[in-house]
Amino acid sequence: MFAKVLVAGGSGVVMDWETNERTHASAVVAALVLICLSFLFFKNSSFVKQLRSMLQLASRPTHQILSDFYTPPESEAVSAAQRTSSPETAEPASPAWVTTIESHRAVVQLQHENQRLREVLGLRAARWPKGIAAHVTGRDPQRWFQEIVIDRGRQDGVVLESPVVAVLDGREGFVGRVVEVMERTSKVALIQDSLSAVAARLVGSAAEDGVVEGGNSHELILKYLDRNSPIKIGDAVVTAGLGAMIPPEIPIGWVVDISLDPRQLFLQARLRPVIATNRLSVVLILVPNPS
Amino acid sequence: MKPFLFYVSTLLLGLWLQIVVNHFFGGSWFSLQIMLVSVIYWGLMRGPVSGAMIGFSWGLLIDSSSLGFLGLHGLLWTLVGFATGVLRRQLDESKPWTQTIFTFVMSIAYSLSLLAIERLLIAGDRSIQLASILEPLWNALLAPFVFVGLHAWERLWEMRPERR
Repeated sequence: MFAKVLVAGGSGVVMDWETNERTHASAVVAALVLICLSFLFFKNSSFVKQLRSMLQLASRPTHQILSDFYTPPESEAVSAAQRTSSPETAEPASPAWVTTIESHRAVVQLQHENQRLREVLGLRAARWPKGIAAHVTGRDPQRWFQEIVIDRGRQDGVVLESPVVAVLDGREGFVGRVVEVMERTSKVALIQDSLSAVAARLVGSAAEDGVVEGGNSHELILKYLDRNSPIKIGDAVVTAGLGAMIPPEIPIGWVVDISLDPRQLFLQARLRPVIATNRLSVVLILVPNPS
Repeated sequence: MKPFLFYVSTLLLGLWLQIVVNHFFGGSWFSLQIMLVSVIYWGLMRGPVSGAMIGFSWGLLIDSSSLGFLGLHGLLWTLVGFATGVLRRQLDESKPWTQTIFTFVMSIAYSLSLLAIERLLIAGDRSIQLASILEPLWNALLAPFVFVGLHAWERLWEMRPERR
Protein backbone atom coordinates (compact mmCIF):
# COMPACT_ATOMS: atom_id res chain seq x y z
CA MET A 1 0.00 0.00 0.00
CA PHE A 2 2.85 2.34 0.87
CA ALA A 3 4.47 1.68 -2.49
CA LYS A 4 1.20 2.50 -4.25
CA VAL A 5 0.99 5.85 -2.48
CA LEU A 6 4.59 6.59 -3.32
CA VAL A 7 3.94 6.02 -7.01
CA ALA A 8 0.78 8.07 -6.96
CA GLY A 9 1.88 11.06 -4.97
CA GLY A 10 5.64 11.35 -5.03
CA SER A 11 7.85 10.37 -2.12
CA GLY A 12 8.45 13.87 -0.71
CA VAL A 13 4.79 14.76 -0.46
CA VAL A 14 3.92 11.43 1.11
CA MET A 15 6.70 11.64 3.68
CA ASP A 16 5.62 15.15 4.65
CA TRP A 17 2.02 14.06 4.93
CA GLU A 18 2.95 11.00 6.97
CA THR A 19 5.13 13.03 9.29
CA ASN A 20 2.30 15.52 9.78
CA GLU A 21 -0.18 12.73 10.42
CA ARG A 22 2.05 11.08 13.01
CA THR A 23 2.81 14.37 14.75
CA HIS A 24 -0.86 15.23 14.89
CA ALA A 25 -1.76 11.71 16.05
CA SER A 26 0.97 11.72 18.70
CA ALA A 27 -0.39 14.95 20.17
CA VAL A 28 -3.93 13.55 20.24
CA VAL A 29 -2.79 10.27 21.80
CA ALA A 30 -0.69 12.06 24.40
CA ALA A 31 -3.74 14.08 25.45
CA LEU A 32 -5.97 10.99 25.60
CA VAL A 33 -3.38 9.01 27.55
CA LEU A 34 -3.06 11.88 30.02
CA ILE A 35 -6.84 11.91 30.52
CA CYS A 36 -6.91 8.14 31.11
CA LEU A 37 -4.00 8.28 33.54
CA SER A 38 -5.70 11.02 35.54
CA PHE A 39 -8.85 8.87 35.71
CA LEU A 40 -6.75 6.00 37.03
CA PHE A 41 -4.84 8.08 39.58
CA PHE A 42 -7.97 9.83 40.85
CA LYS A 43 -10.19 6.76 40.64
CA ASN A 44 -11.81 7.44 44.01
CA SER A 45 -12.65 11.08 43.32
CA SER A 46 -16.28 12.09 43.06
CA PHE A 47 -15.75 13.44 39.54
CA VAL A 48 -14.55 10.07 38.23
CA LYS A 49 -17.41 8.27 39.98
CA GLN A 50 -19.96 10.67 38.50
CA LEU A 51 -18.43 10.31 35.06
CA ARG A 52 -18.62 6.55 35.41
CA SER A 53 -22.31 6.76 36.33
CA MET A 54 -22.97 8.98 33.32
CA LEU A 55 -21.16 6.64 30.95
CA GLN A 56 -23.14 3.74 32.35
CA LEU A 57 -26.24 5.26 30.76
CA ALA A 58 -24.88 4.04 27.42
CA SER A 59 -24.80 0.41 28.50
CA ARG A 60 -27.90 0.44 30.69
CA PRO A 61 -30.40 -0.39 27.90
CA THR A 62 -28.47 -3.55 27.06
CA HIS A 63 -28.19 -4.64 30.68
CA GLN A 64 -31.89 -3.91 31.14
CA ILE A 65 -32.88 -5.92 28.06
CA LEU A 66 -30.63 -8.81 29.06
CA SER A 67 -32.07 -8.72 32.55
CA ASP A 68 -35.65 -8.61 31.28
CA PHE A 69 -34.84 -11.34 28.81
CA TYR A 70 -34.94 -13.99 31.50
CA THR A 71 -36.79 -12.20 34.27
CA PRO A 72 -40.47 -13.05 34.62
CA PRO A 73 -42.70 -10.21 35.86
CA GLU A 74 -42.49 -9.94 39.65
CA SER A 75 -46.14 -10.86 40.15
CA GLU A 76 -45.61 -14.13 38.27
CA ALA A 77 -42.47 -14.90 40.23
CA VAL A 78 -44.17 -14.30 43.55
CA SER A 79 -47.24 -16.31 42.63
CA ALA A 80 -45.01 -19.11 41.39
CA ALA A 81 -43.21 -19.12 44.71
CA GLN A 82 -46.46 -19.14 46.61
CA ARG A 83 -47.69 -22.16 44.75
CA THR A 84 -46.62 -25.52 46.05
CA SER A 85 -43.35 -26.77 44.67
CA SER A 86 -43.78 -30.48 45.36
CA PRO A 87 -43.37 -32.61 42.25
CA GLU A 88 -46.53 -34.62 43.03
CA THR A 89 -48.83 -31.62 42.79
CA ALA A 90 -46.94 -29.79 40.06
CA GLU A 91 -48.77 -29.83 36.76
CA PRO A 92 -46.79 -31.92 34.27
CA ALA A 93 -45.64 -30.23 31.10
CA SER A 94 -48.01 -31.11 28.34
CA PRO A 95 -46.42 -32.41 25.13
CA ALA A 96 -48.97 -30.35 23.24
CA TRP A 97 -47.18 -27.19 24.33
CA VAL A 98 -44.01 -28.25 22.74
CA THR A 99 -44.48 -27.80 19.05
CA THR A 100 -40.96 -26.79 18.10
CA ILE A 101 -37.48 -27.31 19.45
CA GLU A 102 -37.23 -23.59 20.17
CA SER A 103 -40.35 -23.49 22.28
CA HIS A 104 -39.24 -26.61 24.14
CA ARG A 105 -35.91 -24.98 24.88
CA ALA A 106 -37.69 -21.85 26.06
CA VAL A 107 -39.88 -23.91 28.38
CA VAL A 108 -36.84 -25.68 29.85
CA GLN A 109 -35.09 -22.36 30.33
CA LEU A 110 -38.12 -20.91 32.08
CA GLN A 111 -38.41 -23.98 34.30
CA HIS A 112 -34.79 -23.59 35.37
CA GLU A 113 -35.30 -19.89 35.99
CA ASN A 114 -38.48 -20.56 37.90
CA GLN A 115 -36.68 -23.13 40.02
CA ARG A 116 -33.90 -20.70 40.87
CA LEU A 117 -36.39 -17.97 41.76
CA ARG A 118 -38.34 -20.36 43.96
CA GLU A 119 -35.16 -21.36 45.72
CA VAL A 120 -34.14 -17.78 46.35
CA LEU A 121 -37.60 -16.72 47.44
CA GLY A 122 -37.84 -19.77 49.67
CA LEU A 123 -34.50 -18.91 51.23
CA ARG A 124 -35.60 -15.33 51.74
CA ALA A 125 -38.84 -16.36 53.38
CA ALA A 126 -37.14 -18.88 55.65
CA ARG A 127 -33.94 -17.10 56.65
CA TRP A 128 -33.59 -13.54 55.34
CA PRO A 129 -36.98 -11.77 55.13
CA LYS A 130 -35.27 -8.45 54.43
CA GLY A 131 -33.04 -9.83 51.70
CA ILE A 132 -33.12 -8.27 48.25
CA ALA A 133 -33.27 -10.68 45.33
CA ALA A 134 -31.16 -9.65 42.35
CA HIS A 135 -30.22 -10.98 38.95
CA VAL A 136 -26.64 -11.33 37.84
CA THR A 137 -26.52 -9.05 34.82
CA GLY A 138 -22.83 -8.74 34.08
CA ARG A 139 -19.70 -10.74 34.36
CA ASP A 140 -16.31 -9.93 32.94
CA PRO A 141 -14.66 -13.09 31.60
CA GLN A 142 -11.27 -11.74 32.61
CA ARG A 143 -12.49 -11.40 36.20
CA TRP A 144 -14.56 -14.55 36.20
CA PHE A 145 -13.75 -15.56 39.78
CA GLN A 146 -13.55 -12.04 41.11
CA GLU A 147 -16.63 -9.93 40.55
CA ILE A 148 -20.19 -9.92 39.23
CA VAL A 149 -22.65 -7.12 38.47
CA ILE A 150 -26.20 -7.36 39.81
CA ASP A 151 -29.30 -5.41 38.85
CA ARG A 152 -30.03 -3.88 42.25
CA GLY A 153 -28.49 -0.67 43.52
CA ARG A 154 -28.86 2.24 45.88
CA GLN A 155 -32.45 2.83 44.79
CA ASP A 156 -33.33 -0.66 45.96
CA GLY A 157 -31.69 -0.24 49.35
CA VAL A 158 -28.40 -2.01 48.69
CA VAL A 159 -25.56 -0.74 50.86
CA LEU A 160 -21.82 -1.18 50.66
CA GLU A 161 -20.33 -4.33 52.20
CA SER A 162 -23.69 -6.13 52.27
CA PRO A 163 -23.15 -9.90 52.19
CA VAL A 164 -24.56 -11.78 49.22
CA VAL A 165 -25.83 -15.35 49.34
CA ALA A 166 -27.38 -17.68 46.80
CA VAL A 167 -29.05 -21.04 46.70
CA LEU A 168 -28.10 -23.70 44.17
CA ASP A 169 -29.48 -27.22 44.04
CA GLY A 170 -31.33 -26.55 47.27
CA ARG A 171 -28.22 -25.49 49.18
CA GLU A 172 -27.64 -22.03 50.57
CA GLY A 173 -24.15 -20.61 50.34
CA PHE A 174 -22.09 -17.48 50.75
CA VAL A 175 -21.27 -15.74 47.47
CA GLY A 176 -19.42 -12.55 48.37
CA ARG A 177 -20.01 -8.96 49.42
CA VAL A 178 -21.08 -5.76 47.70
CA VAL A 179 -18.04 -3.62 46.91
CA GLU A 180 -19.59 -0.87 44.81
CA VAL A 181 -23.12 0.50 44.80
CA MET A 182 -24.54 2.56 41.95
CA GLU A 183 -28.04 3.84 41.45
CA ARG A 184 -29.49 0.72 39.84
CA THR A 185 -26.65 -1.76 39.84
CA SER A 186 -24.00 -3.02 42.24
CA LYS A 187 -20.77 -4.94 42.02
CA VAL A 188 -20.16 -7.98 44.16
CA ALA A 189 -16.66 -9.23 44.97
CA LEU A 190 -16.87 -13.02 44.92
CA ILE A 191 -15.44 -15.08 47.73
CA GLN A 192 -13.21 -16.71 45.08
CA ASP A 193 -11.39 -13.41 44.51
CA SER A 194 -7.81 -13.69 45.75
CA LEU A 195 -8.25 -10.37 47.57
CA SER A 196 -11.30 -11.65 49.46
CA ALA A 197 -11.02 -12.80 53.08
CA VAL A 198 -13.92 -13.95 55.25
CA ALA A 199 -13.85 -15.03 58.89
CA ALA A 200 -15.02 -18.65 58.94
CA ARG A 201 -15.67 -21.47 61.37
CA LEU A 202 -15.34 -25.23 61.04
CA VAL A 203 -18.49 -27.14 61.89
CA GLY A 204 -18.27 -30.32 63.94
CA SER A 205 -15.62 -31.64 66.30
CA ALA A 206 -13.05 -29.11 65.13
CA ALA A 207 -15.11 -26.01 65.89
CA GLU A 208 -12.31 -23.63 65.13
CA ASP A 209 -12.10 -20.22 63.49
CA GLY A 210 -10.00 -19.38 60.46
CA VAL A 211 -10.01 -17.15 57.42
CA VAL A 212 -11.32 -18.26 54.04
CA GLU A 213 -9.48 -16.71 51.12
CA GLY A 214 -10.05 -17.03 47.39
CA GLY A 215 -7.49 -18.11 44.86
CA ASN A 216 -9.05 -16.86 41.59
CA SER A 217 -10.20 -20.40 40.90
CA HIS A 218 -13.16 -22.60 41.83
CA GLU A 219 -11.60 -23.62 45.12
CA LEU A 220 -11.11 -21.70 48.38
CA ILE A 221 -8.48 -21.90 51.10
CA LEU A 222 -9.19 -21.93 54.84
CA LYS A 223 -6.13 -20.55 56.60
CA TYR A 224 -4.69 -20.07 60.10
CA LEU A 225 -5.94 -23.29 61.67
CA ASP A 226 -4.06 -24.68 64.64
CA ARG A 227 -1.50 -27.35 63.77
CA ASN A 228 -3.21 -29.73 66.20
CA SER A 229 -6.69 -29.07 64.86
CA PRO A 230 -8.80 -32.25 64.49
CA ILE A 231 -10.08 -31.03 61.12
CA LYS A 232 -11.14 -33.80 58.72
CA ILE A 233 -11.80 -33.98 55.00
CA GLY A 234 -15.51 -33.42 54.47
CA ASP A 235 -15.93 -30.99 57.38
CA ALA A 236 -18.27 -28.13 56.61
CA VAL A 237 -17.15 -24.51 56.87
CA VAL A 238 -19.55 -21.63 57.61
CA THR A 239 -19.19 -17.91 58.18
CA ALA A 240 -18.05 -17.05 61.70
CA GLY A 241 -20.07 -13.84 61.92
CA LEU A 242 -17.20 -11.96 63.56
CA GLY A 243 -17.75 -8.74 61.64
CA ALA A 244 -20.76 -6.47 61.86
CA MET A 245 -21.93 -7.18 58.34
CA ILE A 246 -21.71 -10.90 57.63
CA PRO A 247 -24.11 -13.05 59.69
CA PRO A 248 -22.88 -16.32 61.19
CA GLU A 249 -23.69 -19.84 60.00
CA ILE A 250 -23.88 -19.18 56.28
CA PRO A 251 -22.37 -22.24 54.56
CA ILE A 252 -19.18 -21.58 52.60
CA GLY A 253 -17.86 -24.99 51.57
CA TRP A 254 -16.42 -28.40 52.48
CA VAL A 255 -12.86 -29.41 53.22
CA VAL A 256 -11.33 -31.45 50.39
CA ASP A 257 -7.65 -31.33 51.32
CA ILE A 258 -5.53 -30.45 54.37
CA SER A 259 -1.90 -29.35 54.45
CA LEU A 260 0.61 -27.21 56.34
CA ASP A 261 0.94 -23.63 55.16
CA PRO A 262 4.21 -22.63 53.39
CA ARG A 263 5.73 -21.32 56.64
CA GLN A 264 4.78 -24.57 58.46
CA LEU A 265 3.09 -22.58 61.23
CA PHE A 266 -0.58 -23.33 60.61
CA LEU A 267 -2.77 -25.92 58.98
CA GLN A 268 -4.66 -24.84 55.90
CA ALA A 269 -7.46 -26.57 54.05
CA ARG A 270 -8.65 -26.47 50.48
CA LEU A 271 -12.42 -26.05 50.28
CA ARG A 272 -14.98 -26.88 47.64
CA PRO A 273 -17.48 -24.00 47.74
CA VAL A 274 -21.17 -24.69 48.30
CA ILE A 275 -22.05 -22.30 45.47
CA ALA A 276 -20.52 -22.87 42.03
CA THR A 277 -20.32 -19.24 41.01
CA ASN A 278 -20.21 -20.05 37.30
CA ARG A 279 -23.87 -21.06 37.59
CA LEU A 280 -25.06 -17.95 39.39
CA SER A 281 -28.02 -16.14 37.93
CA VAL A 282 -30.06 -15.04 40.97
CA VAL A 283 -28.62 -13.94 44.32
CA LEU A 284 -29.92 -12.55 47.59
CA ILE A 285 -28.39 -9.42 49.13
CA LEU A 286 -28.56 -9.42 52.92
CA VAL A 287 -29.17 -5.80 53.84
CA PRO A 288 -28.22 -5.16 57.47
CA ASN A 289 -30.85 -4.13 59.97
CA PRO A 290 -30.66 -0.33 60.56
CA SER A 291 -30.81 -0.87 64.31
CA MET B 1 -24.85 15.22 10.88
CA LYS B 2 -24.57 11.83 9.21
CA PRO B 3 -20.93 11.22 10.23
CA PHE B 4 -21.81 12.16 13.82
CA LEU B 5 -24.73 9.72 13.85
CA PHE B 6 -22.52 7.07 12.29
CA TYR B 7 -19.85 7.43 14.97
CA VAL B 8 -22.33 7.50 17.85
CA SER B 9 -24.27 4.50 16.58
CA THR B 10 -21.01 2.62 15.94
CA LEU B 11 -19.88 3.32 19.50
CA LEU B 12 -23.17 2.13 20.96
CA LEU B 13 -23.46 -0.89 18.68
CA GLY B 14 -19.93 -2.02 19.55
CA LEU B 15 -20.61 -1.62 23.26
CA TRP B 16 -23.91 -3.46 23.15
CA LEU B 17 -22.47 -6.29 21.07
CA GLN B 18 -19.62 -6.69 23.54
CA ILE B 19 -22.01 -6.83 26.49
CA VAL B 20 -24.23 -9.38 24.74
CA VAL B 21 -21.23 -11.55 23.81
CA ASN B 22 -19.93 -11.39 27.41
CA HIS B 23 -23.37 -12.23 28.74
CA PHE B 24 -24.22 -15.20 26.55
CA PHE B 25 -20.85 -16.61 25.52
CA GLY B 26 -18.38 -15.38 28.14
CA GLY B 27 -17.07 -18.13 30.33
CA SER B 28 -14.10 -19.17 32.39
CA TRP B 29 -12.37 -20.32 29.21
CA PHE B 30 -13.91 -18.14 26.51
CA SER B 31 -13.52 -14.41 26.19
CA LEU B 32 -13.88 -12.46 22.95
CA GLN B 33 -13.04 -8.77 22.73
CA ILE B 34 -15.14 -7.62 19.79
CA MET B 35 -14.38 -4.02 20.69
CA LEU B 36 -10.62 -4.58 20.67
CA VAL B 37 -10.83 -6.18 17.22
CA SER B 38 -13.01 -3.27 16.12
CA VAL B 39 -10.43 -0.76 17.38
CA ILE B 40 -7.82 -2.61 15.32
CA TYR B 41 -10.10 -2.48 12.27
CA TRP B 42 -10.66 1.22 12.82
CA GLY B 43 -6.97 1.97 13.15
CA LEU B 44 -6.13 -0.05 10.04
CA MET B 45 -8.85 1.55 7.95
CA ARG B 46 -8.86 5.12 9.21
CA GLY B 47 -5.45 5.87 10.62
CA PRO B 48 -3.93 6.60 14.01
CA VAL B 49 -6.07 9.58 15.06
CA SER B 50 -9.39 7.85 14.38
CA GLY B 51 -8.04 4.59 15.84
CA ALA B 52 -6.95 6.33 19.04
CA MET B 53 -10.19 8.28 19.36
CA ILE B 54 -12.45 5.27 18.92
CA GLY B 55 -10.20 3.22 21.22
CA PHE B 56 -10.43 5.91 23.88
CA SER B 57 -14.24 6.19 23.59
CA TRP B 58 -14.89 2.45 23.58
CA GLY B 59 -12.37 1.91 26.34
CA LEU B 60 -14.10 4.35 28.67
CA LEU B 61 -17.51 2.91 27.83
CA ILE B 62 -16.44 -0.67 28.54
CA ASP B 63 -14.63 0.42 31.72
CA SER B 64 -17.79 2.07 32.99
CA SER B 65 -20.06 -0.82 32.07
CA SER B 66 -17.85 -3.61 33.35
CA LEU B 67 -15.84 -4.13 36.47
CA GLY B 68 -12.43 -2.60 35.96
CA PHE B 69 -10.87 0.79 36.63
CA LEU B 70 -12.25 3.71 34.65
CA GLY B 71 -9.53 4.65 32.18
CA LEU B 72 -7.71 1.32 32.05
CA HIS B 73 -9.20 0.08 28.79
CA GLY B 74 -9.40 3.68 27.61
CA LEU B 75 -5.64 3.96 27.94
CA LEU B 76 -4.80 0.59 26.39
CA TRP B 77 -7.22 0.79 23.48
CA THR B 78 -6.10 4.35 22.70
CA LEU B 79 -2.57 2.99 22.32
CA VAL B 80 -3.80 -0.02 20.32
CA GLY B 81 -5.73 2.26 17.93
CA PHE B 82 -2.73 4.55 17.55
CA ALA B 83 -0.21 1.76 17.01
CA THR B 84 -2.48 0.05 14.50
CA GLY B 85 -2.99 3.28 12.60
CA VAL B 86 0.74 3.95 12.48
CA LEU B 87 1.50 0.42 11.25
CA ARG B 88 -1.28 0.25 8.68
CA ARG B 89 0.97 1.24 5.78
CA GLN B 90 3.16 -1.78 6.34
CA LEU B 91 0.21 -4.19 6.11
CA ASP B 92 -2.29 -5.41 3.56
CA GLU B 93 -5.31 -5.40 5.83
CA SER B 94 -7.62 -6.87 3.18
CA LYS B 95 -6.14 -10.37 3.60
CA PRO B 96 -7.76 -12.53 6.31
CA TRP B 97 -4.39 -13.97 7.32
CA THR B 98 -3.02 -10.50 7.91
CA GLN B 99 -6.09 -9.62 9.95
CA THR B 100 -5.74 -12.79 12.00
CA ILE B 101 -2.03 -12.54 12.71
CA PHE B 102 -2.05 -8.80 13.37
CA THR B 103 -5.04 -9.13 15.71
CA PHE B 104 -3.29 -11.99 17.53
CA VAL B 105 -0.14 -9.91 18.06
CA MET B 106 -2.05 -6.81 19.18
CA SER B 107 -4.27 -8.90 21.50
CA ILE B 108 -1.23 -10.42 23.19
CA ALA B 109 0.33 -6.98 23.59
CA TYR B 110 -2.95 -5.71 25.05
CA SER B 111 -3.35 -8.68 27.44
CA LEU B 112 0.21 -8.38 28.74
CA SER B 113 -0.16 -4.62 29.23
CA LEU B 114 -3.49 -5.11 31.00
CA LEU B 115 -1.94 -7.68 33.31
CA ALA B 116 1.05 -5.45 34.06
CA ILE B 117 -1.07 -2.38 34.84
CA GLU B 118 -3.52 -4.35 36.96
CA ARG B 119 -0.60 -5.73 38.97
CA LEU B 120 0.58 -2.18 39.54
CA LEU B 121 -2.83 -0.88 40.54
CA ILE B 122 -4.10 -3.80 42.60
CA ALA B 123 -2.29 -4.86 45.72
CA GLY B 124 -2.04 -8.62 46.06
CA ASP B 125 -1.53 -11.48 43.71
CA ARG B 126 -3.82 -11.80 40.71
CA SER B 127 -3.33 -15.11 38.94
CA ILE B 128 -3.74 -15.25 35.17
CA GLN B 129 -7.13 -16.53 34.02
CA LEU B 130 -7.50 -19.21 31.37
CA ALA B 131 -9.86 -16.88 29.50
CA SER B 132 -7.13 -14.23 29.34
CA ILE B 133 -4.63 -16.71 27.95
CA LEU B 134 -7.01 -17.95 25.26
CA GLU B 135 -8.49 -14.56 24.44
CA PRO B 136 -5.89 -13.53 21.80
CA LEU B 137 -6.57 -16.82 20.03
CA TRP B 138 -10.34 -16.27 19.91
CA ASN B 139 -9.85 -12.64 18.88
CA ALA B 140 -7.54 -13.68 16.07
CA LEU B 141 -9.76 -16.49 14.80
CA LEU B 142 -12.84 -14.29 14.71
CA ALA B 143 -11.10 -11.14 13.44
CA PRO B 144 -11.87 -11.76 9.73
CA PHE B 145 -15.58 -12.10 10.55
CA VAL B 146 -15.58 -8.93 12.64
CA PHE B 147 -13.77 -7.11 9.84
CA VAL B 148 -16.39 -8.26 7.32
CA GLY B 149 -19.19 -7.18 9.65
CA LEU B 150 -17.69 -3.74 10.24
CA HIS B 151 -17.08 -3.30 6.53
CA ALA B 152 -20.75 -4.11 5.87
CA TRP B 153 -21.76 -1.68 8.64
CA GLU B 154 -19.75 1.09 6.94
CA ARG B 155 -21.28 0.28 3.57
CA LEU B 156 -24.74 0.41 5.13
CA TRP B 157 -24.04 3.97 6.22
CA GLU B 158 -22.16 4.71 3.01
CA MET B 159 -19.25 5.86 5.14
CA ARG B 160 -16.02 5.06 3.36
CA PRO B 161 -12.76 5.01 5.32
CA GLU B 162 -10.70 8.18 5.04
CA ARG B 163 -7.85 6.50 3.19
CA ARG B 164 -5.27 8.52 1.29
